[in-house]
Amino acid sequence: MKTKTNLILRTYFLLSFVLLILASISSCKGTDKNDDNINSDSSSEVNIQKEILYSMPAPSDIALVLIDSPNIKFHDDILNPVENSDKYITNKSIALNLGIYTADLSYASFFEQDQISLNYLRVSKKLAEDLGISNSVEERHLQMLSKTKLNKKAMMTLINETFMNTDAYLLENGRKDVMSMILVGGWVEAQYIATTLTNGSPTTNSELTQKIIEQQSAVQLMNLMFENVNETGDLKEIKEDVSKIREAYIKFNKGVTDENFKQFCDLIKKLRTKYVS
Amino acid sequence: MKHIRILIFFTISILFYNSSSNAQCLDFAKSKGFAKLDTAKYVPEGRLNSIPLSEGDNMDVYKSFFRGRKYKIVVVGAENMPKIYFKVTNFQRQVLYDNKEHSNAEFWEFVSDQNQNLIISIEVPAAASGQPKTGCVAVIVGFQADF
Repeated sequence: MKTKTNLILRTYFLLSFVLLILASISSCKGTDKNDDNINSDSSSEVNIQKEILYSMPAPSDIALVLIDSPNIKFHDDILNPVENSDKYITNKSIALNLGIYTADLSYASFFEQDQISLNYLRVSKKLAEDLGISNSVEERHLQMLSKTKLNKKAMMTLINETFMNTDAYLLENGRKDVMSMILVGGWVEAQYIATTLTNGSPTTNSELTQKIIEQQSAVQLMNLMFENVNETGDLKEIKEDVSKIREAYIKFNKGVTDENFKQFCDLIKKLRTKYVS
Repeated sequence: MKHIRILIFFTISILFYNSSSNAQCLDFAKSKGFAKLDTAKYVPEGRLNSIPLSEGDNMDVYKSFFRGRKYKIVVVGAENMPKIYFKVTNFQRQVLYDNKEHSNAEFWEFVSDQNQNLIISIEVPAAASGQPKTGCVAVIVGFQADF
């Protein structure tokens, strides 16, 4: 029994050592001039590569594009309550709702709802940590927001900086699938806020309606993104949701009517209800 | 007990090495990228487009731009890297901007006249000789906020 355990441990050490060497070669942390330079002397082969990044907008950016319209007001009853965060325990529900809370945070911040913004920043930190991302919302961000009255621009910069931390962590750990879910959750929430403010009618706020319709380009990018991530069980269902959104947008190509706009609003509400419950 | 300590050491070491290069590029994007963007004027967007590239590598960033917004696209490379070339095209690959025609400028400011998806194509010139250098390359996009 003891011999077997020793054999397992030896094998583990050997594998760990090989992985450590490979990891150090691949990350190539250099010391040349400054830390941003990465030394590649370990390889003599010229390995030219082409990277492709599908940079679908962050939830905070999408929400801001939509709510930065005339005659928009803040309604806290539209938001997903922070108390709901305790019920998100699967990777999928955590990721979707991290996107949703980020969009809510952007909406609250735009209307300078400081205490609500702080609560949503805290809940975003919690969900990010549940996904294993410890440095998404840094303590200094919370301190800054709790002690200082930030203007809108500073607030948006802070939110986007925290989202970049999340993005960097997921990119470096090969978790594009999780980022895809966060982005879809955020996109749906931003649309949910916007469509709720239209009361389901294209004439309530014509500029907002126009902005909702123009989101077709982001949906096109969302499709491209999904074509390029591994399709697990969780992603498969979300990909189907994205297809439904795309189909709803195709109907707008023939013109926006009360009927197709209402159908679109209903679809967004249905998806959002599914994601937050 | 000794085995467990060694086991923990190896596991932590692997995790540390795996995350070091990209964390580096995040810091690089926030320091050099944000400085070039001028965050007093432009709000940085939330997506991180900063990864290690080698001389001779290319990168395409597909991105949405929204109607009526003034944008600044910043493309910067680490100090050890050569001048980075970048151009902005639409999906039909019509060139809207090419920094080779603007003295290899590190940024482009423009107002988007419609909601559109554009491709920011990055080219790190190949090394003339010797080992290709590798370093962080960051694409930072910011928008001018009227609020």
